[in-house]
Amino acid sequence: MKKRTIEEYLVIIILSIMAVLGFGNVLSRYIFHASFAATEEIEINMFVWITVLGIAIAFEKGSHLGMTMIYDKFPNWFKKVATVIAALLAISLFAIVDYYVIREIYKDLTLFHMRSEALNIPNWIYTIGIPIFSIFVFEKLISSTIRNIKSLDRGTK
Amino acid sequence: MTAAIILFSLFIVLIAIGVPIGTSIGVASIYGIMHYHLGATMISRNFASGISKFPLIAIPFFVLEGELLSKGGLAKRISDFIILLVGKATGGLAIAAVVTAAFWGAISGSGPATAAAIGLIFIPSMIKQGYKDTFSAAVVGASSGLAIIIPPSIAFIVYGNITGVSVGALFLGGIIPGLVIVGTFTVITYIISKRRNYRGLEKKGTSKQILHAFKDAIWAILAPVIILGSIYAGIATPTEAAIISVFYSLFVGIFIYHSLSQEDIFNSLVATAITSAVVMFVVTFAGIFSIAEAQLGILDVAANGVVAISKNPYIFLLLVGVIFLIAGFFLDAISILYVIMPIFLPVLKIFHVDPLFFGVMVTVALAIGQVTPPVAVNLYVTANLIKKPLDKVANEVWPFVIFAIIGLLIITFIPKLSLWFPVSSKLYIP
Repeated sequence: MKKRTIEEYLVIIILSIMAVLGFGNVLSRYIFHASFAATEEIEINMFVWITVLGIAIAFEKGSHLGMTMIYDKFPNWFKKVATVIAALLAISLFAIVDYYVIREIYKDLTLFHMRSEALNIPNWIYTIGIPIFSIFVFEKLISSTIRNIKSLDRGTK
Repeated sequence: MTAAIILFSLFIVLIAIGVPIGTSIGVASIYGIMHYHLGATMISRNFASGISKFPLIAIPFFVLEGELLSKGGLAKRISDFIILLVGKATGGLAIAAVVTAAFWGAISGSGPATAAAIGLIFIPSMIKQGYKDTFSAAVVGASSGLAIIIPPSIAFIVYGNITGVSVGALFLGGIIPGLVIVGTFTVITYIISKRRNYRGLEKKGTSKQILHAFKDAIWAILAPVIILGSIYAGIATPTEAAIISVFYSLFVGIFIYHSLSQEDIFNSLVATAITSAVVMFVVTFAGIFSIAEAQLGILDVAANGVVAISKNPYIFLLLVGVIFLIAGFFLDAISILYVIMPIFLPVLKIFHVDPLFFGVMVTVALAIGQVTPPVAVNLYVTANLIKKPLDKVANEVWPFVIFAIIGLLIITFIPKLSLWFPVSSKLYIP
């Protein structure tokens, strides 16, 4: 069996839970005519988590949408500059998102004690997934940028 | 106005130097929010709330269904059946590729995924039959672009999310326009094959063979019937239909064809997370961008500009078609839906244009943009399969683009093509 990374195991587990919850919901609605729609809340918040994790894996594999037509025509040194700029911008983007999410969580814990609508779970349990899973985004951005710069270096020689 | 210029130029410059679209649009919108003091806390709130919507969960589940059915070998079974049906005609294999891609579009919601699944099956056998490799890649690439018109479709889910038009109704609205484009592609494939003397397959399928292939493919053929049937009958929402389709494909792959291993399922889950995150990365930040656009008053100015051009609805629709075609040359469908489409929404009422019809028409225009270079996600996939540069394949794709534009004109001037299904199902009242 192929060796998998932590973030791959995480998306496998979380996406499976989402699917099972969703299917359980559909079954209960049609067969037992009872809805445990409250689980929708778990599903949609898990969707946020796998999105952050998926964004990380997509950075690693270079699968994000983009236009390379002009980039391909650049000289090698400029490609390196552009690669670093892209990585720094993405890191700042997620750092800013994380900063405001963490500030929100802090306010929640100390002041508002917001609870979720359906399940009455403290809200921060859901939102804390964003900064935690962003760690993978940062890690993948740094490692893939170093790898891309190295391969651009090899290209010139 | 300066705000608009700054926001858009930042976005475009970043994309031009090769920064991913999600990063570019995120950076542009956060710059706009900070610079114009629109309230930075909306960044954290909208990042999560842009994703955590129940209708959007249909995206990963439809992608997962496509992954599971494709790993379960169902694309091959469908293609075998369709080749037996139309393979004998001139250009038979190419026409079979068009029809199979359309069919797979009714299983998978994503163009590139369709291009990969169908390309792997058809391109090698087309080349063996004497078709030019670049033509084969163009046929598969262009017809996979249909995947975003034929439901289930990520573009429709996103359009419904932005406009509030029922996703189920949009799905039904895409069926006939999708078939119109299949028709125009079949015609041009036939014309080119006739001219280049691409012959059909020698042997004709006997009715016994066809029946056998049909039985073999029946479980794959049933998948879109279940999805669209349950939506048409009003039994399931698109998200529920997506979840049901995931478990249907698991059942078929594990118990009927015994072709799905645990490893396949794990790989499908990881591939799904990537595909869906690539879409959602753009969705969530483009959502923030469009909020910034609205708060800065950019949308109002642009909308007034559109109304000032002409009061004639047909000129308006032609203008929309041209703008979306051109935008589609350079940008992906999702960011166009968030960044440019909202300009036209407020003026639809003035021109008496139905929002569901508008969604279908815009999606067709965007689908055409997705197969025209420089940004041609589907052609990238098929060009990679034949290991030729994109522009070589692009040379062969132009006839398809022209015929798709003819299809777009038909769809634009006969709104009933888009509205008949949703209205007859009572899911939509115009």
